[in-house]
Amino acid sequence: MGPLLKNKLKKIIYSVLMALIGAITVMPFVFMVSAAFKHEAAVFVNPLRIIPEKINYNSFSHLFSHDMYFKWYLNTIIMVSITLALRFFLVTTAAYAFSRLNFKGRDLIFIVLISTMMVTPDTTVVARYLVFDYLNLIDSQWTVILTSIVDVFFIFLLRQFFITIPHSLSEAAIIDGCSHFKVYYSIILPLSKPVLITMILFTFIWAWNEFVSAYVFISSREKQMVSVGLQYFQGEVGPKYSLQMAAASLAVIPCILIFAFTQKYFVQGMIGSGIKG
Amino acid sequence: MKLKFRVIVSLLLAVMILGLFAGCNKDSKTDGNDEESQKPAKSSQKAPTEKETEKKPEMVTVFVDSKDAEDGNSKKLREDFTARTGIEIKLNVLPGVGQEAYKKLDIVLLSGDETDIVFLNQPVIQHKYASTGLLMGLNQLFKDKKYDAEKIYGKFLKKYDGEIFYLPNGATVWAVFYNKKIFDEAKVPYPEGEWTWAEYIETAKKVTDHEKGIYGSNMFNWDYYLYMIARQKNVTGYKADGTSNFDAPEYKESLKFYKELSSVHKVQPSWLDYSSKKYAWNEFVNGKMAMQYFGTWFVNILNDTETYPRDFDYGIVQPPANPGAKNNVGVSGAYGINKNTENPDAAFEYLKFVVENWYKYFGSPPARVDLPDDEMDKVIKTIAEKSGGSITVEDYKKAVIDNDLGFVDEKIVGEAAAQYSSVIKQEGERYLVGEIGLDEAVKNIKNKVDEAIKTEREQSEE
Amino acid sequence: MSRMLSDLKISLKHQEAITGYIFMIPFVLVFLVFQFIPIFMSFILSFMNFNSLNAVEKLRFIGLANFIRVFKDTTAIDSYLRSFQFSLIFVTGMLFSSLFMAILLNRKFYFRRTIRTMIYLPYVSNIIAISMVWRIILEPKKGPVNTILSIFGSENLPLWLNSTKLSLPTVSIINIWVIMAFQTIIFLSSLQNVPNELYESSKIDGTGLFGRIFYVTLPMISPTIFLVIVVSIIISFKNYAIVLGLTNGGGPGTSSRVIALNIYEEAFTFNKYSYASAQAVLLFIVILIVTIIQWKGQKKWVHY
Repeated sequence: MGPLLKNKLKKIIYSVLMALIGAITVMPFVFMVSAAFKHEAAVFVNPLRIIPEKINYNSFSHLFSHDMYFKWYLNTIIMVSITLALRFFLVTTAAYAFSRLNFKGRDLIFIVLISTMMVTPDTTVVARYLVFDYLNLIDSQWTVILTSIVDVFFIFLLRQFFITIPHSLSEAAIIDGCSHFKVYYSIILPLSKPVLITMILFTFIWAWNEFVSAYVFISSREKQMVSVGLQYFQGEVGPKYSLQMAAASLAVIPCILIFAFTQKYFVQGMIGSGIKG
Repeated sequence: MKLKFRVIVSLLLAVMILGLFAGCNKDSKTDGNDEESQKPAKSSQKAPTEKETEKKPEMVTVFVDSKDAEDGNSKKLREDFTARTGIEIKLNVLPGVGQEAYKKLDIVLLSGDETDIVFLNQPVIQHKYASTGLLMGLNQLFKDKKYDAEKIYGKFLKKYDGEIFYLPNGATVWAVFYNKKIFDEAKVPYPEGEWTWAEYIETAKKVTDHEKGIYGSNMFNWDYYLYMIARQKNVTGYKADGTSNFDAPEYKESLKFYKELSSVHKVQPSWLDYSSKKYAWNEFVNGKMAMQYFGTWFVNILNDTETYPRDFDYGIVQPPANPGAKNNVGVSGAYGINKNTENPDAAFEYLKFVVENWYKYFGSPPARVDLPDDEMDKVIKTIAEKSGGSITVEDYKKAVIDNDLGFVDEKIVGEAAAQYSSVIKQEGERYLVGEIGLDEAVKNIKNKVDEAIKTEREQSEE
Repeated sequence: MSRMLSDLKISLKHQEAITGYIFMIPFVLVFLVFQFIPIFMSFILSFMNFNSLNAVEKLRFIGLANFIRVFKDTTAIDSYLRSFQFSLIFVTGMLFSSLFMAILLNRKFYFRRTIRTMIYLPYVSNIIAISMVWRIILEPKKGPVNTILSIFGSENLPLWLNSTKLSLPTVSIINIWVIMAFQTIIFLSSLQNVPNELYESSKIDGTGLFGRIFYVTLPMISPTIFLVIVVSIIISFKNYAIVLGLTNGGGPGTSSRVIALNIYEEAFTFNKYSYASAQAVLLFIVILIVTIIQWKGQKKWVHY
């Protein structure tokens, strides 16, 4: 009983410690929600007061009666879903090719891809505008999706991961007559769950918060994403902070949910027995 | 074989998803139009393929910033336009306001966008677009339409080599807003106008109460405040040879004046307080600032007590002016037509409507010379009514229109104007936080701006 | 028999190559159109005279003029140097803190999912809210940090974000805090791949906690460490949103104006698209060189 109890106590202390760290990091979020309930001019007065002196529901009621806010929300959900599906397909197959298949020009293409990661994306905005204009895609939601489905970073991440999976596993399958698609689908993908979940998680969050593409390429109010939609809440000389914070608080909910739901995949020992160096 | 089959199936699947989405995209195109264009959209919905042959209702496309897209007054104006002319409006929204919005507008216009109406909220922008050939020259159009712009806008009209590129929709000028409650409690009489900046400081000192956290004066960290004394005196930003005129003594005085409001007279929060967001631009509403030197659009904020509740009455008075600089300053906004427009007729109708009627919707002084005297009174009357007894028609009129002040553009407009403004802010800030001295700040601004102008010239010759 | 085997091998190789292309081509095609072509166009743009809105009528090539100008432009050069400083602080800080955090989060504790989510929250919080919170924490006169410093008798309290000397490192450290969730989760996911058996065998060997981290965990996840370093360097050079949010766009003065922000301003505020492209090309070369050095160095410490 003794060591068990000691272990339990240790765990409790450790949990409290982690909760403390959590309490600090959660601050901006608390501020965001609290500001949403403050009156416009009171947002910056005494920001440490979490529960406002006079609670203001106007911001939320404005949002709920807004003609477009939930349309933007829905747009975002649709666009993010498509981005997720397409990116998953494109990135995993390409990463498989770059890590586990030998073909001419592989490394050269990979290096070119990796090097484009170093280009600041905003400097290509004008050029992208011209390309989309040429393809007649301006003001289409596809502009946002097509830019973000080809993400080099995740090719890099998955490649780094796929090459650590022993070749003996796939070679045996190939000799047995399995196709590469089968190896990719039945061996590599299942073994890479945590890293794939990481990709899904961040693809979701990045796509959800995508700003520049939507900002520049979409000009109709009704096609906009929620991230740019926040920018619509403006006063005479600057943002309507209370309203923006209310809108941001609602907009962040899916991101929190996906963080929470994916955590169960980051648990020690979930896989590993299949891989032995 | 098996593998290829699978890949092909997957690709097909992907294409199908693409198709699905493209489908729903089209739907939103037809049923999700703006509030102004819902009715006619229905008619074109039935046969989108025959769009070309069907007679479309007249339509004008308009760039708006996000404030304009959401603002109630702007919506009203657009509805009235459609009701009056039968021309539908489609918005092309530039998210954000001011400079943010123009970043997108640049890219959009450069790539040949055909949106008809361009708004130009301040002189630097007006100068930029008019001088770069992105706007349509209006002389011929006005001639065709027999529209006498000269007669309506008179001195407010700006021309570039005789060509008109935009029409002014009105000016926002500056005024001093004061908190009557603070003045009453301090037993100080309300400011009455026709005053100098020294008198402003004296008044501010009387109402400042550091124990209660009350400041007599409130401004903000906008670049204008750093050169306002010079602009009010109409000291130009450029010398005759085109270089920066920031070494003129008035600019130096301006910078010093702003700093001393907090460092010497202690009547105003410091630059540090503003830039660390300890005090926001709308701090006045919270009742701790006795006077605020601001644009007249501030009445819209003060009258919107639902969004900005306040527990005091406010007053309005004309801005202080030193002898020899008896001017109010301000920014006049304007509207122009995109040179790529496909329907100049509808665009002309909209342009005319918006600039002629702007003042009715926003209560700012019109940029027209043809209006009867009592026309503005009607507008002011609604403002006064909305103020909840804070101000009268007389107060507003005296502060904004009928006073001894002339009018000067607040911005420094000319070559490399955007860089000019950034440099003033950067070097001005270093002076205000005490990192460099006044002379050094002025010297740095002058040198850096000259450098920027030189670069600008070299680049335009390349 | 042996001929058949070698035939099989050749045909397998052949099949492998074909599969490789098929697997890669969808990605590469989309990439080509929507990423590579725009990048290439921007590259071309850097040799042109597109430096004002009216230049569009008379666009032409001007050779290296834009590049030569960058080297004479002290604002730009200073911004490059600032980016190096920013990156150095960011990458070292990020590596240690995210790895440490991942190891912390990987242990068992109560409410693990909730607490983990709370720790990730800054990553998705609104940038305005984040700036606001940090401005309060670092407020020069009465902020909590300076209050604590003054209790310990410190005079000349630092101005943090409002100090020309401290604003850049402060922004850099805040940036670590904001986007740490990303690196932490990547580490966390790679930690899941360290087989339990390895831990158990080292436990039996009697290795302590730190010993285990150094001799078992770190070598096992070294490919990920390498990736995180490379990516963090890239992120640190490209990022400017945080600077816009925290110091009103590079202030005080130009003390936190990093090169990415400078490029952004040149292009979108001053309409000097070609000049901005030239600066971006130079930035690209800088990052490329740093990354190549990384790549060459990885053989010494990354175990695949």
